[in-house]
Amino acid sequence: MTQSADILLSVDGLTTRFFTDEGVSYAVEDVSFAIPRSRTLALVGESGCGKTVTALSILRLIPDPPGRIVAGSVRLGATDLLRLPEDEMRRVRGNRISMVFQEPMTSLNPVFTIGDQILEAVVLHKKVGREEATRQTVAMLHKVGIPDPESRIREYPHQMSGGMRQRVMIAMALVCGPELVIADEPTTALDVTIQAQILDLLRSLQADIGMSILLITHDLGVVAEIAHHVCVMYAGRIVEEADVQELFDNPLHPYTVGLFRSRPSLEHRGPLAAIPGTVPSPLAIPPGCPFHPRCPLSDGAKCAADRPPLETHAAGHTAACWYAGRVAEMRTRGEPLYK
Amino acid sequence: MSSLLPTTESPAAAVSRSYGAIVWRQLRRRPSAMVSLAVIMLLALAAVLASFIAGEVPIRWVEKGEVSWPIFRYLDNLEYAGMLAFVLAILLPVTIRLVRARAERAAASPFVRAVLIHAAIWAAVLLALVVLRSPERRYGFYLERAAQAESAWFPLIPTPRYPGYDSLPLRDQRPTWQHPLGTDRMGQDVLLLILYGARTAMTIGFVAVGIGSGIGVALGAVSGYFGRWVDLIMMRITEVFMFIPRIVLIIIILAVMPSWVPALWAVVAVLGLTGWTDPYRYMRAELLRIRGEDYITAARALGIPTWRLLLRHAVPNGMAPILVGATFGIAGAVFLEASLAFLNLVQTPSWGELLNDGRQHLETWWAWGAAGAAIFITVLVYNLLGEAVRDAIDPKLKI
Repeated sequence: MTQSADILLSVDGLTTRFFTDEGVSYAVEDVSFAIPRSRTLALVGESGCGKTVTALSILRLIPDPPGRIVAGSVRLGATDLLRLPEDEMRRVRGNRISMVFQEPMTSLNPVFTIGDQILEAVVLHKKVGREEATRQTVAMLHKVGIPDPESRIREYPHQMSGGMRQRVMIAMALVCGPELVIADEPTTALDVTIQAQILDLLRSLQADIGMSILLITHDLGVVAEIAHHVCVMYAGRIVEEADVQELFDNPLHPYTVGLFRSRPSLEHRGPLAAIPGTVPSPLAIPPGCPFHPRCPLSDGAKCAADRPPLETHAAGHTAACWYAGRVAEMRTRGEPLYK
Repeated sequence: MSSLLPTTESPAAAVSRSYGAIVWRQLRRRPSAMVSLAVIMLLALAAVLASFIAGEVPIRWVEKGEVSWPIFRYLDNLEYAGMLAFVLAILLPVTIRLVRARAERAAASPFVRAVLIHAAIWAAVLLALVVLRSPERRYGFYLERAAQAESAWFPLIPTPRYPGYDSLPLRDQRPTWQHPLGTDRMGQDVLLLILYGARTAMTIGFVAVGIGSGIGVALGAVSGYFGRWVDLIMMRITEVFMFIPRIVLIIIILAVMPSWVPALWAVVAVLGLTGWTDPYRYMRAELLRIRGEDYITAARALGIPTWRLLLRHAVPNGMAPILVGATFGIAGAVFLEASLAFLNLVQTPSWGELLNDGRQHLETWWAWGAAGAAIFITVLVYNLLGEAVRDAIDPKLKI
């Protein structure tokens, strides 16, 4: 995507499957992307398309069994995380790559004070004493906008609101100065007003600290807000990838077009538009293009038989659709893709 | 979620409140819990101070102008240890507060630290006592010479007590002022026997349940957290243990135990070593749930090592059922000990033994009645407390 020298994390051909009683679940298939330093990459898609599994695969936190990473590589700098011994991987987690979870209400341990939870990571990774760790914890909480952090560190999670807890989660993820933060739907569980605050916070922390962010979301508004680069996922695969501006101006995959169309907008009154059909179960992904049963452009023959590869259509813009050209043509003619 | 907290407090002014503090607040609202706790404290106090309440050794003795405090020479090392344990248990909240204040900002689980500090103090004192001190064991000395003393402060109920005591004139007396609960068929004061029986019951209850819970928590945590074949094997072994009848096992073990092992210790050990199956199953079930919780995944994503994840993050979240189970468990252990003594298996002053005597001497209703009442009250208060703790922890109080 950009100059390879700047690349912090590159994921190549990542394939994660779950071997369940009902059969093999193809959660993530052949996913590749790269995140440059100090940039934000967004993984976008409907629920169940493999975004979170991708994130957990990077940290090797897939519950095994039933899940297993069957192929691919995840390179952080020069090291392939998937080949690291567990003990060294543990030192990467929280230290070089950390994660902010979707549910701030359940992601903090109810029996510890928040100070305890944050400084545990500092003591563990930075090998400093409790006093120094406490100092760093207070500084970090201050940075994420928690008022009066000196006394707040002695509070328990249940004494804080959802927005405050998400700030604590972010502080916990950032306190060791990681190079990459994976934010898994960091704003989904929050009020809209708090969402904006948290996004602002992430953006300003990135400007300040310089970490890269892998943002996982289904919310295109959030993407427009802070992402530099976007990967659209569908049924465990990346179907389109581009810079944020390019993707918003010129989406090439019918699925991406559908996602944009289903956003609420001020101009377009009436019921919200939806993409017909539902996301296929990862246990039964349709042959050919996985999107073809829901796609208005599907020809029912080629689309149902052959899977389209990710092809480059413009500089830094790839899409996996046999008819990506027609999507662009229809837009220039002003024809709606979906009826 | 936070609606249970008082709404008068603004978030900024909210006092940091630990899980324990919240449960305690809930518990304080329940009269049955408070009454039970008070009775348990009284029982514990009676057990600890039994030698001061009834016995033959004077507390203060003045003979030929010489003042001495004989009881302190007579007290057994374990009696001192019991008193210290009682005091340390009462002082635990103070230590917790001290630890929390000393560790400036955020102390690592002050509760665990305080318990460890107290356990260390207790063990050190007990060791020192056993090594340095051998108590006086001259029975029947002071009571006979009471007339020669210028002044003697005897326990509240001055009554002879020693192993194998038998006094024909004192046998089977109805309650009098001198013997408030009468005497038994050996002429021993029944109140004295009840007090020493409380000591036996409390020791068995706390120590056996402590051992059982400790083993159960450790095994259950491992089994539930790692799951799969570890869990499969451990669960099958546990099922075998669950089907061993405890009384039969204890009878067999007491039969083969060498005579120098005190029967009471053997009973405590066997109750502890067979009583871990319930705590094991509670902890295992809790961990099967907890290991899937978001905060465990979040902690793993922070790079917390497995053993630390298990001990510091998972186990404390699963302690609530253990606490409730232990409270009921103490009641069960007291009851079981009474059953064993009733079967005449333990030669130690015990409520069950008194009951057994009553089987042949129904007319001495004051003796077996007192023992039965003591068993009834003890089992009742522990069950009431267990229920109150369960209600305070469970479903109304969500954290």
